[in-house]
Amino acid sequence: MATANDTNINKNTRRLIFYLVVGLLIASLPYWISRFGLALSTQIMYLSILVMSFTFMASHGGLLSLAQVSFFGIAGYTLGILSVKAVVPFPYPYFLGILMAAAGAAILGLIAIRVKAIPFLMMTLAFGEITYGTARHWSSLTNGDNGINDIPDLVLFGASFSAAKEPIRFYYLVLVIFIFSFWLLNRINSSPFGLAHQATKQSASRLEALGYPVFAIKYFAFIISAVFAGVAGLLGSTFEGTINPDSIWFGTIMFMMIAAILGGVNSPIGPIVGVTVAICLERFIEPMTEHYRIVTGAVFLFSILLARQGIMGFLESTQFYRRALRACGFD
Amino acid sequence: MLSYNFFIFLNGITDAARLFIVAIGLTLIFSLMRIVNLAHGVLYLAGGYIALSVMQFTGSYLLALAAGSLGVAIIGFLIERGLFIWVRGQDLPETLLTLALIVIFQDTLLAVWGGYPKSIPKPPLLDFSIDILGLPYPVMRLFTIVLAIVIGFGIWFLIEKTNIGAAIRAGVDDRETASALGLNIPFIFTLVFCIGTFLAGFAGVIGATLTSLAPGLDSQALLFALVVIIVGGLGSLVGSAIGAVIVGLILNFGRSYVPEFAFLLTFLPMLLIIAFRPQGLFGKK
Repeated sequence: MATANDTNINKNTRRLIFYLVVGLLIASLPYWISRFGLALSTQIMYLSILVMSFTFMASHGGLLSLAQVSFFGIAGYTLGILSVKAVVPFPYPYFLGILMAAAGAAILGLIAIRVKAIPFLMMTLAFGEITYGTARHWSSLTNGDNGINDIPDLVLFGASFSAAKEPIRFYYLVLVIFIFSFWLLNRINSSPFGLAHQATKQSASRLEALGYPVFAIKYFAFIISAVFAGVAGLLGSTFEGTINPDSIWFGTIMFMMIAAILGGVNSPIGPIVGVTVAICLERFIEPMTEHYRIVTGAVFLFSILLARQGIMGFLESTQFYRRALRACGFD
Repeated sequence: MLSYNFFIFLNGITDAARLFIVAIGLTLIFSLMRIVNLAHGVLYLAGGYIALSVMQFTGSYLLALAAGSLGVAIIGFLIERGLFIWVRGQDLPETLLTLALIVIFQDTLLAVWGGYPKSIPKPPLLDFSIDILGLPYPVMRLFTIVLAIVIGFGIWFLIEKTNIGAAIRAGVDDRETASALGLNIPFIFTLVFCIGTFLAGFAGVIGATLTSLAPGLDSQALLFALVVIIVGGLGSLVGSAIGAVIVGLILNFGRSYVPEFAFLLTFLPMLLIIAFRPQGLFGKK
């Protein structure tokens, strides 16, 4: 009895130490990393939220929604149009941005949720191209190819959170939102609703027979995923200070897919690993050739052919990773 | 006003012919292999670019047309034999594979041919205009209609009237039985994929002659092709033709009367179809 307690305490301490070390590392990041690294880390975090919204739908054989980037863009454009063109005061453009992203999912979901995996992928891809095309062509609203620039800096409680002038503060802001989103998404996944959502992916017909409203569950999950994609879009366009068609072009959609598949769709930390690796890969190859997408595309191709569970899936299958987990107090 | 509308109508029909040629390869591949080849758009662009280079090199339009379509068919052969083999029968990896190919090809095309819009000069035989209702109209555009009809009938004849077509239809209906009866299904798959990509390249050359070649036009081509086959019904030849006419007309009337919304308006039929008749106008349940 005593020994069992001891190991439990032991485990808890080890886990605590692990959290402390990781927490300190992330919290102290602005003080030892270069300015470029700081901007990169900020980017990694909001893009991870976007990819997490994608894997929320895609994990465990679910639906691959390429429309997440559109929700990202819808939120960003709502923020841009309201705060720059209509000069709506601070919190409202952000609330409405999330609301519009959710509304977009509510409309698309009505038709897209009914179909199977491949048509769903096609439809969301089409939706992505439609949003991109609309952003380019509806120039009286979106300024066409120029996009909407000079999105005002965030001011919270009298302090400026300008990404350009106060990068450290902005980093912490994104960090807090990122951790909250990560926690909340995992919380949703382990809630009764989340479990039912996972079950719709595995056997929708059986769940239907058990009396669960399969369509409503998937539909609601789609809207939730759009809310998170919208949050990422708000952070992204505030960070860049601009939103334009290039933010939501096909390349962004592919970046999201590559990061998700590379990191591992079924692992909770897969998106973070995937985004980090994909961004570092791009930044690493970019100076050598401007056609770095050939390389990232090839990496994507090989991970589809050879390692479909991604980096996390590979790690999880190794002894080393399990031992490391146990050493940190996780079982 | 009436003649104005008539010209918009004519543009709509000629655009429809072009869309039909793009879409037919996509729907052909889908009907047998159940693969939505999302790389269709980028292969379309590749066809145009290859033809452009051959045209600049030899000056012969026919040679360029042949090189563009055959070149892309060869790429298609390599894709089918080299990559699809590994993921055969798994829906999702197959589709993801075509997505990965888009990324690779897009940047390859950009690296080889650059980012400035280019176009292929019209063949001298067709580079003149005729008077319609007192206004000149380019013959090349009208010729596209003929081309679309010829290709449509060609594919129909191939599938319905030849031995190869019978084998393809057998493969569509029941792969296992056809295979057990001694039909070489892997060969038929490769053949159909090559025909489909051949048509993508062919459409690319025609599209590059009528409009232009530029990065980004590939996703536009893919998008319109997807809309056309979703409206018409996946895998249906007649459906693709009707779908192309609907999309072509909406696009052109939209551009003239509500230019900012023309692009959005094009998707209206797709939304209506998905909402009320998910299998498309001529699709099978």
